[in-house]
Amino acid sequence: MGESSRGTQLSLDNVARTFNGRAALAPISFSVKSGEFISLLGPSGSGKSTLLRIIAGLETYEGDLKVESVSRAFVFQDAALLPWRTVLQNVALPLELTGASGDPLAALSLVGLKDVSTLYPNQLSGGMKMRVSVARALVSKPSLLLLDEPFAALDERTRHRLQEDLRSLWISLGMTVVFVTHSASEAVFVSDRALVLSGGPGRVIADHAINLGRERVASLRSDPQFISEVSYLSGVMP
Amino acid sequence: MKFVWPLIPLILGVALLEALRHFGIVPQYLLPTPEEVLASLRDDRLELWDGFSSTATSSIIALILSGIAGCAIAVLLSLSSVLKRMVYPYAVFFQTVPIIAIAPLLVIWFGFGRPTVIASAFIVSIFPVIASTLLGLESTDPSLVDLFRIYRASAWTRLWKLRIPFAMPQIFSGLRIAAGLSVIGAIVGEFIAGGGLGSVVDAARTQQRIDKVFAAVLLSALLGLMIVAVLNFVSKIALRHWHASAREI
Repeated sequence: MGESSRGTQLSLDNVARTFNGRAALAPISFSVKSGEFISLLGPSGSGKSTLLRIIAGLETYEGDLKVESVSRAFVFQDAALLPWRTVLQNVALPLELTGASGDPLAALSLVGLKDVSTLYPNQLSGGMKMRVSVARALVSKPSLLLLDEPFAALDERTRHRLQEDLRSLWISLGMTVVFVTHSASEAVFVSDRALVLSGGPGRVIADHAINLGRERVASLRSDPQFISEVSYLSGVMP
Repeated sequence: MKFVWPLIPLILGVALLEALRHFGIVPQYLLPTPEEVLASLRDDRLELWDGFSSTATSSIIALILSGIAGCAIAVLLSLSSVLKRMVYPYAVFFQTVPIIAIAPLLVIWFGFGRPTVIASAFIVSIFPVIASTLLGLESTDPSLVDLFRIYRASAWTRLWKLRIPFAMPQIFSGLRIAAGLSVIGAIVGEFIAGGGLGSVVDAARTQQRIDKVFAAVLLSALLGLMIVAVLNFVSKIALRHWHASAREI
């Protein structure tokens, strides 16, 4: 799998989902290259989270889905940490469950939290909890990282910091990332491509490339090109 | 200050009862004075202590048994919805049968003495453990369930590493309710089967020793409080890392 670094990691062919006879997701087709960072952007109820959960293997679906990935990891909207485990034990959980090898402390240093490894989740701020959650996802060195509005509940400053950190983690680790968000500016900042979903039943109404370079720093947010990308996507979004 | 507030109604209550006695509204033989109760606690201390330790032993054994059996039954019921649908209605039904009505049957089955007392305390205290543990096992955070599914954890691993630890606050709250009930169940059992504070109350009643009845009742309340205090202490330690809301139950 390693040598096909620009191969297709993920392909969906008419993937659809119905809840109690009602279509939640209209047949959707797209593919994601290995190492790509894409956003699924849409209003609430557009089925973007459902789509992500289908890719994660958490939901049933109709259609054809191919995931070229030995390992995938998921970051939830709430940090979803086990309150009775320390930060380090939380990060080590995927290794424990799968029997894979990995270094939880190294994963914690990736998110800048090596010093709090012995603390418990109730001793951390919301932003730190989310970093622990990201470290837990990275510990098994996934080739596909799925994030479901991970920063939505955080304050703006923390959210911006985490967006910058996620982008640099992606640059250094090179995994494929699918990032669900309802914020156009977040999608523009973190990803190289945004798929815009319409309201229920969700379908893809735009597949937009974001050409803002690889490295993204905080000052990019005031760049005219960034602002025009954001206003374009906001305009497309229902 | 925490201990001062509950003392105020106690002092007011004792003062009110004293006033009722003093003005002859309630006859003397129905209510002892606080001094009489204290005197009984001192003079009958050997008999009261025997009763107290016997009731304490029976209630604690019953509580441990209902804790173990209640959790085990709740785990089984949480594993199979068919089993739950078959068994749970009976658990609810048995809870509504008054223990005082079953107690004579227990004497027939287990004879006079401790086994009947423990059975009586066990029967009344197991239900809250089952109900509360089951609630805890069924309310696991859905994100955490998904997390374990993503890493393909087996049902067994999910149970041990996620659902049981997640249910701990509910398990403790069930045990706290069971603790009070186990003392009640033990004393009801002792009324019928003999022994413990139940017997002391029963004997003192027939001897018109209202002061001794009060002393024994006081001790049984104290026993319930002590068991709950120990449980609170254990649960505080076990849940010390949980969020404040879970710790304050």
